[in-house]
Amino acid sequence: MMHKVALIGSGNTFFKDEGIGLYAVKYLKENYRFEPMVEIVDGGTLGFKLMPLLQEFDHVVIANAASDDTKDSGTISCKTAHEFLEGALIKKTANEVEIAEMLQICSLSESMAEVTLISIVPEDIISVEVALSQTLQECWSAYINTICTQLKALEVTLSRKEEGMDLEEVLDIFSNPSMALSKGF
Amino acid sequence: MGKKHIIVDPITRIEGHLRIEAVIDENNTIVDAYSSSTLFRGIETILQGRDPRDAGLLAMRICGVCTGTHYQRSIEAVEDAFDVTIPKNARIVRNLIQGALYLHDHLVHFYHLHALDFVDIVSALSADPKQTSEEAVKWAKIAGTNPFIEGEGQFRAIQERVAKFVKQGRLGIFGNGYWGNKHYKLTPEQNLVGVAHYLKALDIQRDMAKMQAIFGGKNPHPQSIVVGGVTCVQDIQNPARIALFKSLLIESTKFIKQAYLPDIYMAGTMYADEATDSGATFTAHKQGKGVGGTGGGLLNFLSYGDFRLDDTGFYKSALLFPSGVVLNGDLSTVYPFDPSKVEEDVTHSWYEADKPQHPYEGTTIPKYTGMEKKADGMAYLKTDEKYSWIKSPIYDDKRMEVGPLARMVIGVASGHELITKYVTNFLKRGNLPTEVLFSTVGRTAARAIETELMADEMLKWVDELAANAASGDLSTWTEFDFDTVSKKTKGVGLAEAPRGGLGHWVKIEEGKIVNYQAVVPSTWNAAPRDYKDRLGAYEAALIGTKVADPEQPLEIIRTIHSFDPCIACAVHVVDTKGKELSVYKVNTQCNS
Repeated sequence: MMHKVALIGSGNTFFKDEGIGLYAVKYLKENYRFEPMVEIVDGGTLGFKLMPLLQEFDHVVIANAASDDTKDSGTISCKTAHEFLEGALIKKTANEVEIAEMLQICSLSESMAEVTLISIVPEDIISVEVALSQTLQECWSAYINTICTQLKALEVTLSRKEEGMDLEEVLDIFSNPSMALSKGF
Repeated sequence: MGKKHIIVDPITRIEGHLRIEAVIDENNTIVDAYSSSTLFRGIETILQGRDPRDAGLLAMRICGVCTGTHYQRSIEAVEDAFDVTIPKNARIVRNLIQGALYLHDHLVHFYHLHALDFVDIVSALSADPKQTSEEAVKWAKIAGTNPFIEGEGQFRAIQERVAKFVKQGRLGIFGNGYWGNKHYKLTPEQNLVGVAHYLKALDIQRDMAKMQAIFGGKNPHPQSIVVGGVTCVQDIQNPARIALFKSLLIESTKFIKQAYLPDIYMAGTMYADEATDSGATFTAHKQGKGVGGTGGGLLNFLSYGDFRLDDTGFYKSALLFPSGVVLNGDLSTVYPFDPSKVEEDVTHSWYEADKPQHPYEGTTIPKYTGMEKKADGMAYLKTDEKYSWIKSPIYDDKRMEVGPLARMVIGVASGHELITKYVTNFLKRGNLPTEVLFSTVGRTAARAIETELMADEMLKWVDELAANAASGDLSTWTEFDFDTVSKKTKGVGLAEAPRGGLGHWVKIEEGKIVNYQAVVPSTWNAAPRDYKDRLGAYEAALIGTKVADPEQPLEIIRTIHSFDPCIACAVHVVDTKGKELSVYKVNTQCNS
């Protein structure tokens, strides 16, 4: 049976490194084809509104920034929902609080996707801008590769599109969305 | 023995980051309380210089919970500035999207964010399934209906499922579950009813989310609303889409009437002693005469009004929820709401400003002054100075509470026929006095009453929409000449988000946004003291509360949760280092 896979970018794009999950899934959406199809979701700052996705898909991959004072900025981790909740959760952003609590509540649901959180330790979640810190820019390829590897582990085949989009263009979309130009997620 | 400090940080099962410091006396009664958001906001600046038609795309990212509400409010602030009246179809579609958001928010709030303040999951394991079924029938009967889940077998199966969770250690992830706290008052059978509905509500909320997506476009972010109207004309024309919306709504309504309302009666009755304890109130402590019960608080209520019922345009049309102001819990007078009387003060907030400002002229200049260090690595709020990232909104120089309770109270006080009918029916069936509404339990009940009312009204709106489309009116967008209307103007999007009054104020010059301010519901409710040292709504609601066990301040969490707090949109990140706030969760310490 075919597994339904969703890839959710989570975080607030206005707070610099906090937006990396969203930048990453938008980048993947613009640069790759997925077989079978992967539902790529602009999770933004949605917390409990993401619950239906966890009930509808077999696998959900959440890309986000997650604070961890014991690790260097740019450290990438892959955790199951259970591992994520069991760990010492340092919840600095509103979104970190919400994702954790949403996962707790959903864990009592009868149908719950297998969740993987691909998180990166942010450097700057204070500045109000759509951008990435130098440290996270340097880890960008590694972060994208980690997500691709996880999708492949879920038996998704990725092929590159001829016309892609680089990080700068992705940031511009979040920075300057436009109705008239249909410029958005 | 001196006074003690109880600190709860963060308050969990909320959207965002909130800290409460409460001071209790030797009888464990709260005599002082401080609400602080330890996260910074400053998002509005990002909207400056933008094309106002795109404001919604940015505003929706302010906060996840109210994404759709912010999005729509931002669009309507611009429509108000441009003096654009949207077509009938667009108005109904927006009401349906927003209505579905209400159902989803209120249901998830009660069951998944608030119910465990009343319901002890572990206790449900010792329930007798047969008696549980009888218990479910009993409360449904009071609500005038049959139970949603019935029969010994069903409850036994649910109990077995919960036993499995417990055995697997899955409840352990609810870090702050106070299982076994002596302040839980439901019987094991009642707890099992509550848990059964908690689990079922996980399925029902999914239907409610689907309803939002039918007209809202791509879930989870609604995209079908644009300045001038909506873009989902195909969905309006398509009878299958309308029928799907209706069937999801009918199933949701069934759960609201047969599970949600009976559960409110059950919890309300079992916690009635608190809801009627007028001595345990802010009014008793500050004014000498208590009104309502535990958690009542300010008793000043504000509603901007929302859900337009005709097409006469903004701030002119008839409304499902009337606007207005009620003071001191006095239902005999409703003061008309005047938007020019809204101001934000920052005396106790980490911002700079020399006096309260109207949102049109509002500034957001951070000035973080830190926390006070105490022994044992504890840091306290400097409550005499600045202590929160939330500003203090005031209306006509008064502190206000906003939300479902405010809407129901103002509806009743203004003699609004529909609201009065639902509120009166609710009280009559439960044999409850009106004052019971002025309490934590009452706030939670008001939300349930509103959910039922909304679901019933939405069913009429769907039919109205279908009939209008069938009559040949397919207009969904009002044309406007952008260059003419955007030269120099200002507008406001004032409405009621599920958790309370939400306002977006926008000033536009030469086609660009020059100033933007949002005053969100949780700013009203979670605000710190103001320039006259008057308490915010959360703070006032905690005064007078008796805390059974200071090590597990369940009563504090229950009252704060009853407001459906959402701090994400009011705020942003912990102080620049973050550490001093995240080292402890719940702590008590002598501070005599």
